[in-house]
Amino acid sequence: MNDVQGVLPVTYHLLVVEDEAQMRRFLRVTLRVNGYRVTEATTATEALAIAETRRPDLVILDLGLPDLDGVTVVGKLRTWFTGPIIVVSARQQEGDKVRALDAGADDYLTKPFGTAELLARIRVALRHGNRIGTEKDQGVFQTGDLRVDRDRHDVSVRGQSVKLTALEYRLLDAMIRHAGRVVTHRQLLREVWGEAHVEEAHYLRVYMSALRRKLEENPARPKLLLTEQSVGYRLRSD
Amino acid sequence: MSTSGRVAPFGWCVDAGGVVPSPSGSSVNYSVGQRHGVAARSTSERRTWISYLTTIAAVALATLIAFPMFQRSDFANVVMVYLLAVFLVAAALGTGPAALATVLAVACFYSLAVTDFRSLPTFALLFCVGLVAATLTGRLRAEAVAGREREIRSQALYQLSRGLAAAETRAAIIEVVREHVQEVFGCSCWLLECKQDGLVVVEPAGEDPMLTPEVMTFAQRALRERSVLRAETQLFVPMIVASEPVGLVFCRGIDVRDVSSTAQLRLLEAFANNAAIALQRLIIGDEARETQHRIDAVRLRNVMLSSMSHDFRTPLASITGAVTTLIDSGASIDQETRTDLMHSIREDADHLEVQVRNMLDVTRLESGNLQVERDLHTLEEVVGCALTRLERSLASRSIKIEIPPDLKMVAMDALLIEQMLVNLLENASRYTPPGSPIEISAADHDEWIRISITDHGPGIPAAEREVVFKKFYRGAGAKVRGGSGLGLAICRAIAQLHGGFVWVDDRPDGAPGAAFLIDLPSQWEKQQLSAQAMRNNTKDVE
Repeated sequence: MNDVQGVLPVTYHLLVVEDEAQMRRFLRVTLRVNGYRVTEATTATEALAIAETRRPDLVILDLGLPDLDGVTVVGKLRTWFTGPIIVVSARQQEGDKVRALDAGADDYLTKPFGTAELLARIRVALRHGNRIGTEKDQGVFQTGDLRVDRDRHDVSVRGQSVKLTALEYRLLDAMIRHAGRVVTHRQLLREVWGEAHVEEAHYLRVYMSALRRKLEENPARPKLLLTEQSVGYRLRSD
Repeated sequence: MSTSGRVAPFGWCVDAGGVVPSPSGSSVNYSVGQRHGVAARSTSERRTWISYLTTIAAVALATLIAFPMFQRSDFANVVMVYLLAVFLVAAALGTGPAALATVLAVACFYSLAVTDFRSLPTFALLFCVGLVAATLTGRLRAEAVAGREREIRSQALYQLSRGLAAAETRAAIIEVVREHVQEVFGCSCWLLECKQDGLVVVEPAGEDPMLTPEVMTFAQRALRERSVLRAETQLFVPMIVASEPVGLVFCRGIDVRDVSSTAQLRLLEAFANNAAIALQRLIIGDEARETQHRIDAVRLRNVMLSSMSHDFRTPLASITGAVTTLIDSGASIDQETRTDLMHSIREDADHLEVQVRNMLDVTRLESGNLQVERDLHTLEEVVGCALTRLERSLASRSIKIEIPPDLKMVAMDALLIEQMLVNLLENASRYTPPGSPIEISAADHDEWIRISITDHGPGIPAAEREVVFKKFYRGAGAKVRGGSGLGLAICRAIAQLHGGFVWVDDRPDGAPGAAFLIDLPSQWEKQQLSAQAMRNNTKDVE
């Protein structure tokens, strides 16, 4: 007991931007119960003002706001805000979601979502900071059955060493840099293949399929390299 | 065929100068069936020369044969020989050469036999009979030629209407008309349609019709006068349906001499009117579809409203019930009941979510402005996504997946195909005994990738296999187990959007259960790119 004396547990401050009262209430109650400090905003304008004065650690942003579209809000926030942004979208806004991610949002949730999903996203986002890349490139990365020694480029699954091609390794490495968070097709293509190939998502699918065949027990039901349909991929992180 | 140059209700051909009603109506030597005007004309001129030379040769030959008879003063037979020559020339070469043959024959006869005055009546007789023969055989021949031309024309018209009957798009109609006009008249043409804001070129126009104001003035005039209008090498042929002008065929580069006869103009008019009817048929078809679409939409809305009251209210009522119980007497009920209530709330909420999603999908698919965003996907990944979404409802079942690792990528809108798989799997889990296994497999059939989802439920009776894909059709068990009656209709629509098909059959192994089969076309231009990517991957092995 004495050891922790004086070290207050960090209480993260979250800004919830949502125009629907019921959704706001659900988010407020759930987040407070789980130990977060919550500030609410109902419009984009209000959100931008609050974000500037109150400096939240993380922003949860609904994409269907009445005054500004979500992608613009993400862009405006990203001019100075370095904390993680999680966007919330309805199912009919697939395109907006991807654009918001490419504009600098860190992750997304699709309505309706459960508490577990919400909290997991927030945890991962806070752990990694924003996607501008605080992730280390060295050391050992481990999740589930997968172990990657990034200094020695050594990959093993259930203790068995796995041989990857150079591109496959680069792809896996990019996924590790964003472990736990969704990475859009464009982002992966840019990081692994370069700017000229950002539109060639089918390339990515070919390699992802090859990678899964080497790393997953059942490639049709992946447990590590998860698909976020029409958005990108997510590497599971423990 | 009328002998007048002015025939048919719209058969006037007005020269751009507005003076000459041009078809002569009597010319025989028109060039329907001759492919290219200039070439055709020079050969026909050459043929005329040859036929006159042949005539001279024939008379010379006759003279040669008749010469010994002259010497014997056997005039009756000489006349016969000359008559034979005239008849043959008339039959083979027509009126002009026959007349020449008569004159030549008489001249020869005269120069050889003039000394004998007894031959004067014979001489006159030969002249008369020769001319009559020339006229008669010439007319006979002209009729034969005209018959042949008629035949060619009706053949051309028949070919055109057959082509038009098979044409199902505006582009196809234009293609057919253009092809036939090019073939018969050797010129390019465009279809112009009367729209509210004037004459509009029917797309695809191909090369630029260069509709200058001058051209448009002629076109308007042709329409107003409902007659064929000619301006230099341009020809404006109105399209008339039910005596209303609906547009016109605009020909450019036509050779005036190629359309010098009424018959040809009438053929061109027939072409135009056939095209008009074909276009009209399309418009009427579109209208009928549109109307059907509206009727369907209204019906959909009605059924949606009535189904909403049932499908949405049932889970809502149960949610409200469970929640109010928890609020009002939460403290007094035991933990187990409480958990039970909360689970039922969750299930009903999930159920509502499915209903809403189906409704949205149907309206999206129905509205017709859905963008199919095709890209190459691995089927494995899409199946994986569908299974992840159904993780909870399929938790109790064993799912066997058989997708060959080397299956080629398929061009699809992954979100839509995933939705189709979700609907089929939801269906399988709803209508088969809990815990029974479900199999998903895929196979490459060259032009098709066939995906099959098989279950171990009661199967679907043969009589119902088509109707289950109809909107709002519910199988016998559906009432009890929920379901909006939209899931399979959505699947069908999605498959069709991909140029594929979905249907239900017996299980291939004969065991009880249903097999839902999806065929998706596997050919797509980007396919090669994926093959390329595969090769690249094997290349850079460390």
